[in-house]
Amino acid sequence: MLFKKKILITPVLLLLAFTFSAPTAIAKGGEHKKIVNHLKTKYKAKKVNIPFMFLARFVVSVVRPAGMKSFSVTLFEDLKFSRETLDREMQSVMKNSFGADWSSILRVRSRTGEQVYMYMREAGSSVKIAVVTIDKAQAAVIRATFNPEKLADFINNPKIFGISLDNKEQQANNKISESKGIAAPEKKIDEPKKDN
Amino acid sequence: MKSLKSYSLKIMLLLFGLTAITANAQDARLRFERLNGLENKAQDVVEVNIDGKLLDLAKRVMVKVNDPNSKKIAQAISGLKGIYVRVYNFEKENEYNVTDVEEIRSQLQSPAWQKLANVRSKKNNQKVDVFTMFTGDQMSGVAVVVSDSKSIAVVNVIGPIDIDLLAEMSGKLNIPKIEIERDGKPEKPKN
Repeated sequence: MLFKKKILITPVLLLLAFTFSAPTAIAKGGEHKKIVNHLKTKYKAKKVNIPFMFLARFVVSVVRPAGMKSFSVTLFEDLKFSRETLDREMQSVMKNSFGADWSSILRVRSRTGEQVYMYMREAGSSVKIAVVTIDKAQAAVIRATFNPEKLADFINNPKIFGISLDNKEQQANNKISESKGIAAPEKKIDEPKKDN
Repeated sequence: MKSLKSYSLKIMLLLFGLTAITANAQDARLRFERLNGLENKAQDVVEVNIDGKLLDLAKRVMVKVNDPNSKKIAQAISGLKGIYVRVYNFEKENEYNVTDVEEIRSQLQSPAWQKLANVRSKKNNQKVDVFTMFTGDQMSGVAVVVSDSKSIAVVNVIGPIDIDLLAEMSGKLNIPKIEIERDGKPEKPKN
């Protein structure tokens, strides 16, 4: 009885550990925290809650679709800033937040209050991308870590958990099933291809 | 002793060669520092820096993708070292100092750069300059400077660019169609 209980508790604890460790791993990056703090304190930005975001992040951290290891999206609204000083302030925050290992790829700024910053850095076999956008009173801070090799594999063979997302492959499988007189499944589970 | 000498000489020559190659590749890079002063005056600023890391990443992905067009793109960008873009738009006419842009144009007056196109229009004081740099028979850099009374745009591409391959890829994978005239006949890109 005790043994059965232990068997049940272990996966629950593992699941909880995964759920809490995924957001912590993403929040580890100091740059993300610094930018979010700047938006909150300097521009009195209000964070917008995205429903089930924690679940989406957990699923991504486990499934890793298209080589995506982790991601984080933080939305803000009601930003209060001076258009004259916004660019200077944001540039200063960006420089202080992103270290020398990050490369600035894109920077767009307009006096009308639009700002886009995109940074990238390599982390072993993975690539980290950070995007910060401000559009008038709204802002978004996006971070993603992905494996480019896995992304290429996904482009070649788009499958998640062995389920093909490739329409052509699905259609071919459906045709085979129809010719055999078997009802075609909606999505085909990964099977070795038969050579004709 | 003699072998040591010849070994050192070989290393010296190799280092010298590598330095020369690096220096040549760096020559095509324009210095944008002078344009930084325009940041405060401009209404809109766009800055794009696609350098080694991002190009390597793109190459790594493109090479692995089982698509002939992706492989050709990977081949086309295989030698590229960087793509840099600066765009400044101003609210009013003649709001920027012309000498700032002329400083960029003066960098292109070095013998390494060859003028490919030069357009001057009195309308809006428009000026377009296209320069290329060659290392042997291979193009090792491109610089485009466009300015008018209300805007400045500078594009700098560093590394070998295969024009034939680029023309072949035009119209595919969201690359705009390019028609290259040869012997007076426009070459139609193959689709």
